[in-house]
Amino acid sequence: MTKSPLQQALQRLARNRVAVLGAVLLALIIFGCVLGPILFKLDPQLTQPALRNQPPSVRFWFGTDGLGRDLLARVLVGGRTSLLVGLAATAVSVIVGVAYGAIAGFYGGKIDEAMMRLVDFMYGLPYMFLVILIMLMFSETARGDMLPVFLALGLVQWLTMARIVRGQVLALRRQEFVLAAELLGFSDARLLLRHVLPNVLGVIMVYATLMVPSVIILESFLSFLGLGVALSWGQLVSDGIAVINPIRSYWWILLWPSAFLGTTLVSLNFLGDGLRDALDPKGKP
Amino acid sequence: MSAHPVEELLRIRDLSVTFSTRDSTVRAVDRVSFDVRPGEVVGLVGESGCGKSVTSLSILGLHERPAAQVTGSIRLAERELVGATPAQLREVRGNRVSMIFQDPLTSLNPYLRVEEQLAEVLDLHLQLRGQPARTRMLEILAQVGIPGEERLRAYPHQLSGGMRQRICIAMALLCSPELLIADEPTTMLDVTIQAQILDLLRSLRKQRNMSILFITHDLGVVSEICDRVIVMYAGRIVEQARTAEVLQAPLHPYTEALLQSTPRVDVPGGGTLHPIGGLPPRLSAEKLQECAFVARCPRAREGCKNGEPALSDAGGERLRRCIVPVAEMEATRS
Repeated sequence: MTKSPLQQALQRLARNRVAVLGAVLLALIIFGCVLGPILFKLDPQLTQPALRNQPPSVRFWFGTDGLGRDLLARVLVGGRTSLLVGLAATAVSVIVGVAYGAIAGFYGGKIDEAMMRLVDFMYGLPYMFLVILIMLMFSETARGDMLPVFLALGLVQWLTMARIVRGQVLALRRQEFVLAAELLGFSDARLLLRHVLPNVLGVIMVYATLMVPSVIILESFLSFLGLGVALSWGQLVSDGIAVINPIRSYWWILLWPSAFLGTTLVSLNFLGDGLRDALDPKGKP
Repeated sequence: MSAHPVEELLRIRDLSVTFSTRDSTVRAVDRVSFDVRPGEVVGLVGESGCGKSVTSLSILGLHERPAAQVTGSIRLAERELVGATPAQLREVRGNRVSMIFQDPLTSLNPYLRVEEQLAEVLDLHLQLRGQPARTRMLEILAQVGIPGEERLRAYPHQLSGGMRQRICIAMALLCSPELLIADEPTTMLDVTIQAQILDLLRSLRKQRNMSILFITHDLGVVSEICDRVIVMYAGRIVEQARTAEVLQAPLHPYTEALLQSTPRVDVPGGGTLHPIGGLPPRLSAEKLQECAFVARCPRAREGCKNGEPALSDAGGERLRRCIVPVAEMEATRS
């Protein structure tokens, strides 16, 4: 049985220890965040005034916060938000960016020119301002809903994706096999979807993997600023920093969310780097 | 040639292709006219940049508007292709006219199995799927000399260069086109594979009575496969004749010079190679005031500077664009 280039790349990925470590850690974190709160019947909002600021113990593995809430529950449930935002916003930006970039690169000329000037213009806008604006616009109609966050982050992140895809498609468009396919009478849609885009898939995958951590950190940053909509790692880190003071430090309140956030980001970056090497074996010495 | 009038398959008249860029216009093809008859192999010869490929790509309507302006007429049987809509062109491409390229390494999609690439064409033009499509694929692979089913499962990178070119040919032949455009199909292959591919094209042409427009700069290849040769220089036709006539008795100094710069192994001592000095002229859209070849022509004379010579009849089916008398060229042939 012969293997497709993609299968071969995945095999190379499986031989990359660092990437595998990243994938395993990521799988554990996702598994924990999704199933943990259900298995242990944890409630992140339950306040227990008698058990405030408890250090980690057998009963509360991660300790409790200033309102006596179980930190393990909060970190796991917060992780759901962070991961969901990371994945969903990345999905939004991949869909928008790939479609936009592919069309611009495929048709080239004036269409490309016009579409890319719009991207340049949007690059010029201060993105944080844009995100805050979008979230404020939606906040009246959809309070507590995470959709505005996905949209706001996704709509800011797609620009780079569009540029990358556009550049790749532009180069591929003039490759002989695309020309050959065109000369066999295929329609533009077919050329693009079957002959051009699969050849850009590797780049899209790598970039998407590396985009997830940057979205997560962006969301954490928003939460840290108090602009988040739901319980997330960013918000927990913000809570943790608030209680750090020279007299009594409740270090666990800061440690756990930071550790989870950091591990996730590092794992995703390991995985992304591994994917890049696996998909481009020539780039590696 | 037969006395009966022959119906042309491809009839090109006054084809000009002009590219406009921001700061200049380039006329890559200038008032080219020629025919390809059913079952005929016509060679389009000339050095790089003389307009061979541009001519062939115009047949398939592959120039991007508005950057390229194509004028004149290209008729495939009864159908006019200049100014055809994209849908009309798609109907012709791959179905009635196919093309194979110079580099078989890059003309197959690296992400699709041979089978998938072939199936796509059958599905598009013949609505053939499943088992009938498979039968047809195996049949065509056998015709191009690739036996066995396992090659169907292969990805392009698992095949050799010669094998890939055969796959490209198979793909081009799937819908039994009337015309095959071969753009230097053997240039990237080594000599033995080159001979095999030429053999293959020759036998396919005989079996199917298919016409081939063969683009090359290699006169050795021309002598092996072409019935007629069209020599292009600076976007113009400078000579047109049957293959043997062109190779033995060229009537244009450019053809003569091309022949002298071709290495020969059949001449004792190998013969001496004479490169053509200088470069082709810049191709502008303005009318030439002199012969396009004058600056590089060993036979240039006063009259060559007085306007561009017309393409004139030189007897038989020969055409030439030169004012040097035929008798003089024949007398001083080296």
